[in-house]
Amino acid sequence: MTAPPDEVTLLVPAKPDYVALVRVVLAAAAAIDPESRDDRIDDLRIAVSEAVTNAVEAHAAAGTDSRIEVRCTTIGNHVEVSVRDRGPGFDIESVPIVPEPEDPDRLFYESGLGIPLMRRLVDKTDIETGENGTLIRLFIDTSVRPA
Amino acid sequence: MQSGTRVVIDNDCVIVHIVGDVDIATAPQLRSLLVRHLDDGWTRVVVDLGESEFIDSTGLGTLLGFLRRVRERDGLLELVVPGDKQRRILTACDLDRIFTLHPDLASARASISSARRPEASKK
Repeated sequence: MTAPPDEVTLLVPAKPDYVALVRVVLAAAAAIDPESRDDRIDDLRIAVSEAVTNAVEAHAAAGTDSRIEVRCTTIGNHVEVSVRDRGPGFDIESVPIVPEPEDPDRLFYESGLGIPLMRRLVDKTDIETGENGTLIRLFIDTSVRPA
Repeated sequence: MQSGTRVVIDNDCVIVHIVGDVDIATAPQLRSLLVRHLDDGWTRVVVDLGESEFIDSTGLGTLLGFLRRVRERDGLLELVVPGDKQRRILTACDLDRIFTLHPDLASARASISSARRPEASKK
C-alpha cells in the first residue's frame, strides 16, 4: 500500500515580513527526505519566496487583508508547493519580456524577474490566474541534481 | 531573522556588507542605504554578499536598479559573491553577465583601485 503524502498548510498574513517565515518552514518540510539535495532545497526556497512575494504584492494591489494559503505536499523527494492568493490576477501573456543582459535597457527591469526565476529553478511551474486570484504550483524532485 | 548591513568607508570607496536575507521585507532599506551613499557622492561601491544568507529577485532587482544609478554617475559597482549559492541565482537571472562578480573583497577593492576616476567625480 502506498503511503499518503505528507502535507503542511500555512495560512499567512499577506505582509512582507512573513515571506521569510514561509520559506524557512517550507524548505524544512521539503528537506525531511534524507535523499534531498541541499542545492535543490535552496532552489525551492527561492522559488517559494518568489511565489509568496507575488501573492503579497497581489493582496496589496487588491487592498485585501485575507490570508495567503501555502501548501507543501511531499511524497519522498517529490515536492509540490502551491501558493494561492486572492489578488486581482494578471494576464500571463502581458508579463514583460526582459531584454538580454547586453541591452542597456536591461537595467530598467528591476522587477519581473520572479516568474522566469521560478520557472528556471524548479522542474515545473503551473500558474492559474483570474479575477478571483492566482494559484502558483511548483513541482520539484529534490533528489535530482539541478540542471 | 537577522538582516541588515554593515558599511565601511575604505579610502575612495564605500563597502556595504549585506548580512542576512534580502527580500521584499528588507530590500527597501537596502535601496535607501545605497542611494543615500550615492547621493552623498560615493560613486565607487562594493556590495559584499558574503554574509548574506538569502537573496531573491526583489533583492537582485534592487542591486540592478542601483547599478543603473551608479552608471548614470560614471561610478563603479562591484559585487563580492564568494558562495556558489548566491552565484547560482545571479546566473539563473543572467545577471552574472551584467554585474562584475568577485570571489572576495580583495579582488573587488583591487578592481576599483585600478579603475581610472572620471574628472568630475567627488569621491
